[in-house]
Amino acid sequence: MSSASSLSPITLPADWRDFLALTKPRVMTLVVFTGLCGLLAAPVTIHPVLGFTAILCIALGAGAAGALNQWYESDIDAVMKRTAKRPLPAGRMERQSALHFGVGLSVFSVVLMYFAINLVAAAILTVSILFYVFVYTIWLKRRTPQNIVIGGAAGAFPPMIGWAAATGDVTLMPVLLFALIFLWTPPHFWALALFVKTDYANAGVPMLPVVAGERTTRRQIGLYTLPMVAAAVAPWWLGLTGNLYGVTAIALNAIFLVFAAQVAFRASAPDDAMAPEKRLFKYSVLYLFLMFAAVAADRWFA
Amino acid sequence: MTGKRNDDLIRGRGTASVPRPAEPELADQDAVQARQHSRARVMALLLGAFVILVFAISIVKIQIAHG
Repeated sequence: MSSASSLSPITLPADWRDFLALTKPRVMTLVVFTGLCGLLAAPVTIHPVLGFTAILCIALGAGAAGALNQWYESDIDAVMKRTAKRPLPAGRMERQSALHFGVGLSVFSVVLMYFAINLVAAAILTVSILFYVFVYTIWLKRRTPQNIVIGGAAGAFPPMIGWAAATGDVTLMPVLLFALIFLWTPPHFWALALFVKTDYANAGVPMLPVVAGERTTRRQIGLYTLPMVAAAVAPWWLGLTGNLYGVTAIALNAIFLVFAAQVAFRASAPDDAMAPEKRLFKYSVLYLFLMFAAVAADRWFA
Repeated sequence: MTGKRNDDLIRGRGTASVPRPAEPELADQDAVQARQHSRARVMALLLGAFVILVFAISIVKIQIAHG
C-alpha cells in the first residue's frame, strides 16, 4: 500500500545540492586552505592554472572521501542530531548513488592530478583518500577511542599534496605541516566530543569521552596540545621559516595553550554549558587557518 | 527495482523502457522532470568548465615544454 507521499522520495532523483552536501563543503574549506598554503609555501612557483588544478584535485579528493564516509556511516548519521539531516539519513538519496558518486569522484581527482600535475601529488592524494575511507571510516571509527588520533592523518595530507604539486617531492617542511594537523586533530575533535558526547554514545561510536570518560579526555587534550605546539614552532626553530611565522606561531600557540589548559584542568557540573570546550573547539579552527596563513605569508611577504 | 528506477532517472531516461508498478501522479512527474533538468544544467556547466580547464592545462603544458 503506497500513497503518493510515500512514493515521492523514492521516485525523485537526488538534487544536485544533495551531492554537494555529500562532499562536506565546510570540512573541505579547511582542506582546500591548508592544501593551498602548502602549495604557496613551497620554494618553487607553480603556474596559476596548474596550481588551481592541484587545489581542485585536492578539493575533489576530499569531497569524494567525505561522500564515501557518509555512504558508509549513514546508519550512525541517522541517530546523531548533528548529522541526521544529511542526504542519506534524511532519505533524499539512495546509498548506491552516494557510493557511485564517491568512487567516481575519487578516481577522477587522482587521474586528473596525475595527468595535470605529477605522480607524487597523485600518489599522496590516493593514500589520503584510501586512508580516510578504509583506515578511519571502516576500520577505526567504530572500534577504538583512538579513531581520530590515527584517522587524523587523513586530514593532514593536503599541505603535503600542495607542496608535492609545486615541487614534485616531499621534504621536512611539508612533513612538519603534516605533523601540525595530525597533532591538532585530537584536541580539536575531543573538545567537540566533550559537548556532543551523548550523540556519540547514542550512535555507539567509541569516542574517548564515551569510553574513557571526561577526566581522561581532558587530560589527553592537554597532553596532545604540547607536541602540537612543538610541531607548530618547529619550522621557525629549525630555520625553515622566518620571524613573521615565528611570532605568529608563538602568539597563536600561547592562546591555544591557555584555552586547552582551561579545558584540561576543569570538571563539568551537571547541566554544564561547556563554554571552555566550545571556545577551544571554535578557536582550534581559527588557529589552523591562521597558522597556515602565516606559513604562506612568511614565504611571500617576509 | 527501486534502485533500477532511480538509476535510470539519474541517467535521464526515466520513463523509457523499464516497467513500473505504479505510475507516479502528474505532480510527481513534473517534480522529477524539474529535478532532472536542474541536474542536467549543473552537469552541463561542470562539463563545460572541465573542457575549458583541460584546454588551459594543455596550453600551459605546451608553453612549459617549449619555454
